[in-house]
Amino acid sequence: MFFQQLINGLTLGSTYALTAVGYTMVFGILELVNFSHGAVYMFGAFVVLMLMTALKLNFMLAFVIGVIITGLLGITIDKICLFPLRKKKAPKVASLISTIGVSIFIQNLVMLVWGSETKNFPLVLNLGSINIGSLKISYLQIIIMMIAVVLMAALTIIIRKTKIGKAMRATAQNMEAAKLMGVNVNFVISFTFFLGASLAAVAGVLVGMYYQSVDPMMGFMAGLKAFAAAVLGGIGVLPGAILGGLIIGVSEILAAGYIHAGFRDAIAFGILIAVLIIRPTGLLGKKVQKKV
Amino acid sequence: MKTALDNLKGKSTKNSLKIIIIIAIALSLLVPFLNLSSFVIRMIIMVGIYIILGLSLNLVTGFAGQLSLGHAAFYAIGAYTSAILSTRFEMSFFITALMGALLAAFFGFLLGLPTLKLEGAYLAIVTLGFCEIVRIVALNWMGLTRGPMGIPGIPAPSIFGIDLGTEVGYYFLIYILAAATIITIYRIVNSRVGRAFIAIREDELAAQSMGINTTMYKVLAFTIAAFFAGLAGSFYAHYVTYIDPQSFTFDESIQILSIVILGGMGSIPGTIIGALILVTAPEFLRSLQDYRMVMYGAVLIIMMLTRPQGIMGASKTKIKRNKLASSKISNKGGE
Amino acid sequence: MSLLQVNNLTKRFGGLVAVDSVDLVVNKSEIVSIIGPNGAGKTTFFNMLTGIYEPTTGSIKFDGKNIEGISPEKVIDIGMARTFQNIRLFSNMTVLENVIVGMHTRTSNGLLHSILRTKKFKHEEDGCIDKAIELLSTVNLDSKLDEYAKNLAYGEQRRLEIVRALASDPKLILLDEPAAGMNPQETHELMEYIRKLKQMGFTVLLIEHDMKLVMNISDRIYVLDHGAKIAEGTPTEIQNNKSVIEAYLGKGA
Repeated sequence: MFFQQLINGLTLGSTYALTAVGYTMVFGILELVNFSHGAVYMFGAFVVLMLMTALKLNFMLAFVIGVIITGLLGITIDKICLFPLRKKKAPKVASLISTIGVSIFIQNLVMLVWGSETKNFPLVLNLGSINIGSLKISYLQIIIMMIAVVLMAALTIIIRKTKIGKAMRATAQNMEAAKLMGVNVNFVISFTFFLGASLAAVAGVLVGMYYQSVDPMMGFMAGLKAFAAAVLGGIGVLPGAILGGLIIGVSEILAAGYIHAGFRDAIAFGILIAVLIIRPTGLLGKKVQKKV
Repeated sequence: MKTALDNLKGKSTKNSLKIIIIIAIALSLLVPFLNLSSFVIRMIIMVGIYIILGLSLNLVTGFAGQLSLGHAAFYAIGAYTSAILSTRFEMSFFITALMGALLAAFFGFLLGLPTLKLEGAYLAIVTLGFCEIVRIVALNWMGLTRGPMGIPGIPAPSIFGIDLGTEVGYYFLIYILAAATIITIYRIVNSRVGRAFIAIREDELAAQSMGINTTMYKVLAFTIAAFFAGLAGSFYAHYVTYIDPQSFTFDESIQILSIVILGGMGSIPGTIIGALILVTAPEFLRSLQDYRMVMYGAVLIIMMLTRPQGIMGASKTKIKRNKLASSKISNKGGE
Repeated sequence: MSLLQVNNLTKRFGGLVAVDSVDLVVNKSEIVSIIGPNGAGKTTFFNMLTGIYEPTTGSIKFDGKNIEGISPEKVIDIGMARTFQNIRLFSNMTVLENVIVGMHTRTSNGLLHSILRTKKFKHEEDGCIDKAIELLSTVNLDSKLDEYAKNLAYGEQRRLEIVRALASDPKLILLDEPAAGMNPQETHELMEYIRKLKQMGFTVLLIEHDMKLVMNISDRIYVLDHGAKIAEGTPTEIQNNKSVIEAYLGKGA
């Protein structure tokens, strides 16, 4: 029972981790909480579904195209709704409200175009499951976790080893200095939004496959929890987002199993608050010495 | 030559502003007798509720500079306290409202104490998480809140046997509550306490160096804000007579925050205008039917892009000298 | 009589020793300067005095009390006020308000008095305004009471910051590079002003790079280099001190 829930929790947690990475990367560079991220996650799941059902594309093709479209949506959001505010040096909270506007806009547009009801997500990979004693792990769960691990590894390599990764780290450290050193900061920001949004789309599709359904509201709670995961791990710190995602996923499933299903969302936030009271910068976040 | 104190007073602009305010007050007192439809009256009463909610959040976010994404939690606590006390113990509105506001303030204090050392995104997610926890508790603690069934039959307020559960009664009740909130927040902001709030927003370290106990003042701002949000919640419960957890979601917190930002952080008139616009906007957009919420999202974005500081921008706080100028100062002006 | 007595004060950041066992004394009504090349640990020293950093070791005795590790908001209460190297005014508050915030610890209007606008409230507010105007007039800022601090010229902002510190009636005022970014004319006025502060009975401890200013107004000077004190004395003594010349110009000079 416990191990079964642990597996279920890790599966869910990997999708949170994929989404949390988007929050943490954007925050790392712009110090902005991007509230449109949950809507982007939902949009990704819908686009892939629509490509499959309306255009009759096969799953893999729909998946790749859908993820790229969502990545481009990420860039568009930044260019239209955030870039002008950065240029004006507007207060951060104006950008925050702008992303909330984006979130409301996308969510309601999706409802308008594709309807507000829950939709079936076809069972694309019906591979059955492995049984170890009473423990039942479906191949889908394994695939979800594998995809998450592979993508996280790829992302880590991009950030640690590539030129664009170096530029991202430099921009996150000090945007002005990076600019002076010849880093194309605007490209770096667009690239970051692309990565974040496409990873969220992957997470959205995985969740759609897992529960075999998608709905326009699915991004809301998932977005909040992924944000909570990013903060729990220490916002701006990539491994923190992964750790935070797994912790939130597991604790919520355990809470639902052992305490009360109704409280599963409350538990996730309760743990977050408790951790932040003890460690105000999250689990892996570093405290910066104030400059005077 | 202008004296130093004349500079402070800015007399001419002040007088015209006073006249406008007096006219506005006079007109607003006539509102319930203008034969307006119940729909319009209802709209105005909701604006009043959101003025209280917006101003209280503005104190925390606009003046003290602490981003809160969970203001609906205190609104909910006020509403549920009132609903439970009045339906189970038949207490009158004035007692339940006070209890609701005080309990909300107590929770504001409890939440603020450990968390206000957090900054930016960290504080944002904790307040947001707190709001979700409150809603989920309301949804699941069947014995206390009846969960998703909500609490119906909340009695209308009355005073000295006069039933206030009429349009006119509700109108004047919210009118008085909103006016009291405006005056109180205005006076807090334009005082030693308010200057401490603003100093913290402007530069926390410098504020500390001036001897301001920043944690204490942040908790104070949170507690005051929670008090007024609780008060608004109590009124809301007695006004709509039925509440359920659906009324106090994250969307509600965002609506309140949008009012503050749209009007202008740190501006009291801004919040009033913001409440007026955002509460009535969906009604004006109703003709767009299904496009309504899409437009609402777009309006928020366009608003931020065109005027990120809000409609009013932060207003200057006023320090007024009350006594007659002492001889030393008027002499100096005469030189 | 010594107002401030610092013994063996040390601050380490990891392996770096920013301030290395420094001793320092400031007597009442003195102007004492701390000089030294960039990175000598001067501002770190100030930050320990004012509670922003906790000293690794050493003691700070102010007005007869040990205050090492005190919290920053208590520092002004016991009579020590400071300015910052990179001006830290409350930009979106008016000149008058900035000064009145400086009086925070000397005033007591709380929530109730503020909401009810009691007699006490009005009385205290009036007192604050009068006092602030008086202080501002000493730096010719009393004509800009209602101006936002961010709209002042650079030199005016520096002066406002000093007045904000003075508003707390400090026994000791710490100035962190008050002349930085000022033109010669402004620096000259500042010099006169610091002299005037001494006449008014204030005690001043300042960090400054402008040697003309330092040599002209200081009663005594301390020289820091690489975190350690390398010399102390009167301006004439410092000007002729060999290790000071070396620290500034390099060996062999």
